[in-house]
Amino acid sequence: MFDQLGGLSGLVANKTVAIKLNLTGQPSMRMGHTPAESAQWTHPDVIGATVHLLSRAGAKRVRLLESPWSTSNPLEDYMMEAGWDPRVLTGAGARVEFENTNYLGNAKQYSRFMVPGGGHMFRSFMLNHSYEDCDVFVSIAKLKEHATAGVTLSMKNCFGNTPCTIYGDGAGGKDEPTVAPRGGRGTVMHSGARPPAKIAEPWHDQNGLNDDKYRIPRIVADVVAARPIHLAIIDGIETMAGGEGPWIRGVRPVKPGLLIAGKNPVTTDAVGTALMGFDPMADRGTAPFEGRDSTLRLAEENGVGTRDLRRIEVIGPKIADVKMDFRSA
Amino acid sequence: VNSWSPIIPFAWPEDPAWQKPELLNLVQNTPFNALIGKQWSPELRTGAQSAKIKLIDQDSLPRAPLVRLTPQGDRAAVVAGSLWPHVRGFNEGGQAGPTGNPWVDSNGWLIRVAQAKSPGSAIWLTHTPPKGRALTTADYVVAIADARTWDARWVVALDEKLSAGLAAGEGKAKETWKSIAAATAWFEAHRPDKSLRPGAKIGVVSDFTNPVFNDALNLLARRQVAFLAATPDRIGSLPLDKLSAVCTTVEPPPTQLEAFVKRGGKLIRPLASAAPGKPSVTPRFVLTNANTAVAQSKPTDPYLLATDIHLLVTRREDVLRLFNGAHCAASYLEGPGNRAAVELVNYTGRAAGDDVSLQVLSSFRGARMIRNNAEPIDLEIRKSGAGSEVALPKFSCYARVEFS
Repeated sequence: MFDQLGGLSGLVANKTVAIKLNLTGQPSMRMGHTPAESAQWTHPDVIGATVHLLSRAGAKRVRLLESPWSTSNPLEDYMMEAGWDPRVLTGAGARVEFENTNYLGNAKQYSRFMVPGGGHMFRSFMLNHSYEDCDVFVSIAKLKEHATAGVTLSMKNCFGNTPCTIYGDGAGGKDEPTVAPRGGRGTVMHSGARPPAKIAEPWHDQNGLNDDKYRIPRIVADVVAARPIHLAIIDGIETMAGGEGPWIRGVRPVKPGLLIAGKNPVTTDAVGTALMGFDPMADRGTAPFEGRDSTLRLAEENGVGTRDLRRIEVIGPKIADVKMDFRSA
Repeated sequence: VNSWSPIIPFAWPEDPAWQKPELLNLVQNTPFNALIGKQWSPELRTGAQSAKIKLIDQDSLPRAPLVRLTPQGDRAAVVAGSLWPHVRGFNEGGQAGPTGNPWVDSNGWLIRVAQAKSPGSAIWLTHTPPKGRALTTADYVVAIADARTWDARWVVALDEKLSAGLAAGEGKAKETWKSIAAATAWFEAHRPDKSLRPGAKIGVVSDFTNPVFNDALNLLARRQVAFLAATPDRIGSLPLDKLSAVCTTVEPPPTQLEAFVKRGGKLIRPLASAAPGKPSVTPRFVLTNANTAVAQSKPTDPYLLATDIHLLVTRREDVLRLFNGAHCAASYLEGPGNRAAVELVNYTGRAAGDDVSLQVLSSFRGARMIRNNAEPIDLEIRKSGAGSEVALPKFSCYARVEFS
């Protein structure tokens, strides 16, 4: 598949590659008895295969990143809590590292990322150094619907780039960043009840306070404009329909058998959206964006990429032949 | 064998209405064979004597908090400070969210430590039902299971409404009482095989007088981390050859642990003075050698201490993991012939809710689930890494999975 995209070596040879995973929610939470990797989390086999191929293509170093729920513990510990063996991932490439990006981590300071054009909601973000200390940035997401954003794919995955020590429930206001993250991002990011910690710029769009279906799509579009994604991979082999995690009522397991990759997150997410049975050109009022704005459209407005399938080269099976209607699945 | 072990106590209500000897009929044909109380009318004494029910003066049972609990010998060691076991509601300071865990009050850790402090004693818990809360039969079953799962006994005590209802001969109260007695009988008749003993990869050596450390043990139990406990004078009771790590508050550490460390065992010293060393996996501990982690300063936060201990031991040594089991507590037992069992208490008392999966570190071929209110059922084992996993059918208060 990567060969069909032009190969990886031109992108990653002798480079440090950072991969943002999607390990949302607590590791001990499952949708019924379904393991997290077959529902809400990116599967370790997809991660391991990607690490292996990146390493084989000459990547000097591969760093696995995630901002795990409410902890500053090592990412490996978080994976083990889910029953994973991180040694499998370590062994998949030549030099594989892990970092919990939900706090300051291994650096002495946070990195500032400016949003080109000023952004819909934020002009800049303060992130863990790992998002700066890399040459290539990869988002490995899961093919899922999302209660707030409609869908969560390679772009929404990067909402988790934001550290909860600055943008989380235990942080914010006039305070310095907290030492350890606590809770999620409901207070600052979703509802806008409190600005982020004072080292970060607050949002500049005062509309949509208490309306996370207005705020979150804009924030996500800004995050991916600020920290560009070079390679977007969406794990839709085994996943869930109806929401992004077991905490959403009515979620159910699905097996679309799809693996999607692209070098632009908007085009890749547009294809992913279409493969879920939705129109990527849809906007507020139409599925999957009933009552919410389209992250695809907002990212497109930020100049990140197009969501228009007529302008996207899709290599591989035809979308119509392999798509799964998530709403009826 | 402690001669108090067979005693199944019931806290006889202090209400004067309970001085009527005919109320002794309630305990006839139940497993309760001892009444704990403060005062007994002559008629009640006579009735109890003829019914061969033991009367125990409540004041003859010295209740001591964990830190002051001393070896009792052939007695019941009554631990003060046990909690009414339940999932805390928001109005009790419990917190939960869509991706957060509920807070559970449970007594398993306390019992383990009490057993270490009073070896050989029957451990009794004497917490009483919370006032002002309507209790269900399931609440009582949970309270019984919470103690029996860790091989202790809760001195069954009635809430005011049930007590008054029984004294007045109300039918509904009688039904609840019958259910409590039946549950008590079930737990007496369905204890795990005696060859199965508590198992863990972590040993704890302490005098258990440090409140932060004790709270951390509670939090470790909430993380489903099994541990075996011993006081410094009984360190020999720990199977050091089977443990991966020992956490001790004794400074300097007992000399018996030197050989343990030389063999590759990890030693964690949370109350040690700061010592020069290499960084460890947590900023609050340094490694003074490859296998010894020493705290940089005295711990003040039990949550961080529990997390640090778990990190230093690593989750690779978890003997069990629960998925969707935040409302449960688990006790791990192991025995000869590669057998193991996990006892589970569901503190919600309800079978509804999320599906719980159980993962154990070892590889097994068979699993059977025993529940207090349903027939045993064979479970399908799914291989999970080097271990085994089972999907648990819903259970309301107690379940035991026996692996073979």
